[in-house]
Amino acid sequence: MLKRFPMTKLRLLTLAIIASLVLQAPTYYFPVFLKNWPPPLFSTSHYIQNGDPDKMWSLGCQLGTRDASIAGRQDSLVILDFGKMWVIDGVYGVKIFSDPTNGYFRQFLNFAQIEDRVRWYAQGYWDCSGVDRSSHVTIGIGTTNYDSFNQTNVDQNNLRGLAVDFGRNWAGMVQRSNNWAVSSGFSQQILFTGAIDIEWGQDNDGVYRWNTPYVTRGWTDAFDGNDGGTSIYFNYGACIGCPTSPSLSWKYNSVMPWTQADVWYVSWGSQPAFAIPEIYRNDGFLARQWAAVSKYGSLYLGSRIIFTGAMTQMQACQQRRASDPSCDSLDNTPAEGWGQLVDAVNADAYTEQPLPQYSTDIKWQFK
Amino acid sequence: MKNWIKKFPYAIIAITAVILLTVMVKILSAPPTATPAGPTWVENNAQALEATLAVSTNPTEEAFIQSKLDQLRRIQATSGGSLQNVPDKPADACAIRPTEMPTPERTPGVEQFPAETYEDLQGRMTSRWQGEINGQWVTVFAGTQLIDPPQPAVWVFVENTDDRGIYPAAQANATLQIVSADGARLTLRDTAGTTFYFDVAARAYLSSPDEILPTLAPLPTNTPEPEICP
Repeated sequence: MLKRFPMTKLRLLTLAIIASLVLQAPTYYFPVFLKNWPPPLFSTSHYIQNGDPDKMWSLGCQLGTRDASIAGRQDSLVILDFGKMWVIDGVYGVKIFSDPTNGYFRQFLNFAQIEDRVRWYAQGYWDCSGVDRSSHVTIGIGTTNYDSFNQTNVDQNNLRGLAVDFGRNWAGMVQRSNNWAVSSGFSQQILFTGAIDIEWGQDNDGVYRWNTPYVTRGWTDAFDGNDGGTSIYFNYGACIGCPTSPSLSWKYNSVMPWTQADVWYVSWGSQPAFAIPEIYRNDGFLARQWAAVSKYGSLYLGSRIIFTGAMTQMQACQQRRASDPSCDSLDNTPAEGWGQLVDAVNADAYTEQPLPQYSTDIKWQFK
Repeated sequence: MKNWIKKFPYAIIAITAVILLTVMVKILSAPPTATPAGPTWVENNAQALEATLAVSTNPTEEAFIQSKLDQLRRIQATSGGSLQNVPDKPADACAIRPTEMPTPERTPGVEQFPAETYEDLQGRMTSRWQGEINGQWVTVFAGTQLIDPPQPAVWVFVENTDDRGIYPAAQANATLQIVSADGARLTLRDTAGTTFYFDVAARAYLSSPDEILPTLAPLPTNTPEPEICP
């Protein structure tokens, strides 16, 4: 039996005021790990094999259709990987991946064409997301530091000069794309960024085709110098051969003298740099390599890396497992890749961070 | 009033419970912030940086993260101002889909080109043959497979099927190039000038140009992925 208690008008007024204040108070949140678990819905990134406008529109439409079909506000990051930077007769552009629907021909797209094609992707997303006006996609216009820009003169200074040209142009392209998004009204749902798959090491035949930090930092520095303070890029590469703990002495080798400091710089230290690394390997090793780079930054360079997300290649492996034996150990699901990164960075106070926002899984445009 | 309260204490308890329940619901269902102008990614990442700033005890890190945060805030400021000119969405998105580009005309035969790395096929290609076999379009590359050690090889792709393979030529030197074709029988030459013959239909190297091998049965074509705009 509840005890009856007296209630004056003053007490009633006080109760009403307290209740009112509580209801008007700032919003309180539960810890992020409770709010954001399980992993974010993954998006599909693409290796671009055919950059025709209708194909790009269709890819954007697929994501827009998906987001519109899911209740609430979706938020995705996709990388459109346009392949390697390439120069033909003085014209700068990219050599996209081989197109199985066209005799494995590789299209060359110049900068104006890349810009046009990513707009078609954005247009497809906009058109097909329909009544959903709150979902959002960040479109990373992707390339790689692989290969020598179609040059016979592979002197490091020559390659760096070209990388600088490309970095400057890439930042300009991102800015123009975002200006277009603003002027066309699409920026409510679309943001363009740069993106680059930075790696190193030898191909399986022993030849070095990836670029050195000297050349690659030419790209990142030129991007930084020409981004107007309003454009960013994502490094979606791998930390090839990296140790799983910070090391001041580690260097990949004398030909590819990448250090953890270089990796940190191109992934985070450069002002526009953000990171969504490849976390492909099933045993979590790649995540631990990246956590070590973050810790290196924390210990020696003044800042840990706040990873934006994780990239996996589950779908690409599903498409080409038969011809890519490495898929046996490099086919993390998006949830596994994201979870491994979360576990690795949050295992150490030097690298802990809020949960990465994004999970994206790359596939070939065509099987 | 006083009497009424005394008379109905359960009503007071119930009202209080409703208020508390409302507060709980508000806490549980609240989004991280009010929807900000501009891209969600930027706001989310800015929040992540702010959260890190809040726990960081390193002044250098704080300054660095603040600079990244400033960049995100600038992006937010420049990209969030387009609410005035948001266009209408199309009622039928497929109706305004860009026109499909015409399929490039495909010429069967041999094409040679300067060696080029096809990193997606793990090869360095020197030449290509295209043609029709059993009603299916087939592309063949010759070059060097980028494995350890590098291996001269031929790649065969049957369009729109899972029929694809790499055929190393263990006896060849360095790289292979297609020099001519007789139907689907290719003549190749390695770097040392040695000639090889490859029967695309049989997927095999021939011991002599006159050797006859059985043609492989074609694999079924892949099920097409559903069109976004049927």
